[in-house]
Amino acid sequence: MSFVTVNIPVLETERLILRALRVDDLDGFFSIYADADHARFVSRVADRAKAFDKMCSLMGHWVLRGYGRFAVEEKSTRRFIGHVGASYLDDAREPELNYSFVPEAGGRGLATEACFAALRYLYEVHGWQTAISEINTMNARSLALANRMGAVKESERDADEFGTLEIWRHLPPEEFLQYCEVAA
Amino acid sequence: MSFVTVNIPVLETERLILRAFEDKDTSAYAAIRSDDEVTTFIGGSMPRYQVWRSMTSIIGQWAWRGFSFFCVEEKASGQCIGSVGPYYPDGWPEPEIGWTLAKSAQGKGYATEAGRAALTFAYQELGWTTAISVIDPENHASQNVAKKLGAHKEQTGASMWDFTADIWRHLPPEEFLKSN
Repeated sequence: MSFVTVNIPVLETERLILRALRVDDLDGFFSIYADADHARFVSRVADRAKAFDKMCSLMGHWVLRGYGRFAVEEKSTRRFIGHVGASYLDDAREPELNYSFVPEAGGRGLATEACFAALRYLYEVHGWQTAISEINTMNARSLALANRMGAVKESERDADEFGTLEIWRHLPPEEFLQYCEVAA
Repeated sequence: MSFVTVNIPVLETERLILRAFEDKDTSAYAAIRSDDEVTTFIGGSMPRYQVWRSMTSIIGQWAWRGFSFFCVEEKASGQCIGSVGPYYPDGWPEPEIGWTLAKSAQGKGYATEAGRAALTFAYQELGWTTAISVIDPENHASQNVAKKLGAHKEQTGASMWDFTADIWRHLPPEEFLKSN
């Protein structure tokens, strides 16, 4: 029997492993959407069955696009703390760096560390020339993260029940890679 | 760099290839899933962006359940003409074999050919010992496919999710594999 094969890379940073999502990430994954801020600013998932379906979609994205979302695992605890990576849905204007973390992951720079690694991967391995992140104008933590990455706000768009989204443009590849070295 | 690998099987029949959905299938599959006639009995039509999302979800299930729908490609045209496969969402009575084909691909025996390959895969590769198909009582085309595969109507008006439908029971593995 022949197969369609998808290889999802494993990336490593100082404190994190970025790897393919696994079924046993579901509890952590669902806890992201159970967070009130996340539900208000980003997206909603009604129950665990819907969360499983969403995880499946993120996995399937790798097959359709060749890139997608990583699970972020903290090395010291082996716990799932969020997901980060490329999203390019059929109705999206351009590919996006997308990130979501469990509330307990906040305050230690772990989200920033994961986002740096993910964008670097997209620039270096997939040859992306540019990347955006769409962020709710009320989502202070996420805006701060984009700012720390060197991204700049480019425009805004209306997102119905979620209010207004800001489109942040990340540094272009060369500048970003230099910025990574300085930041490290 | 190390990797996690996901393998999605490719099956071949006389006139069809059953394989994972690809991005290039989006237009063809979106046309099928937005056709009111085709989708009457499977939950209604969907806009393109939702169809794309549903394709990603279908593919992702291969990674974790080990089975899901295949894209049905017609060898002659290279086009996606529908989906077929083992399917077992939450709230379903038991694992089933489902099929959906474009209007233009119906009446050629493709659904039977694809359904036979999918059921063979479920019995031989997944080790299923029984299988059903959930079919709307008004969906005569689909019932004919089930009959051609050797299935019989086991239960009428079974309820799942927010609707009721008939349950068709397929032949058990040994009998099915011998007769096909």
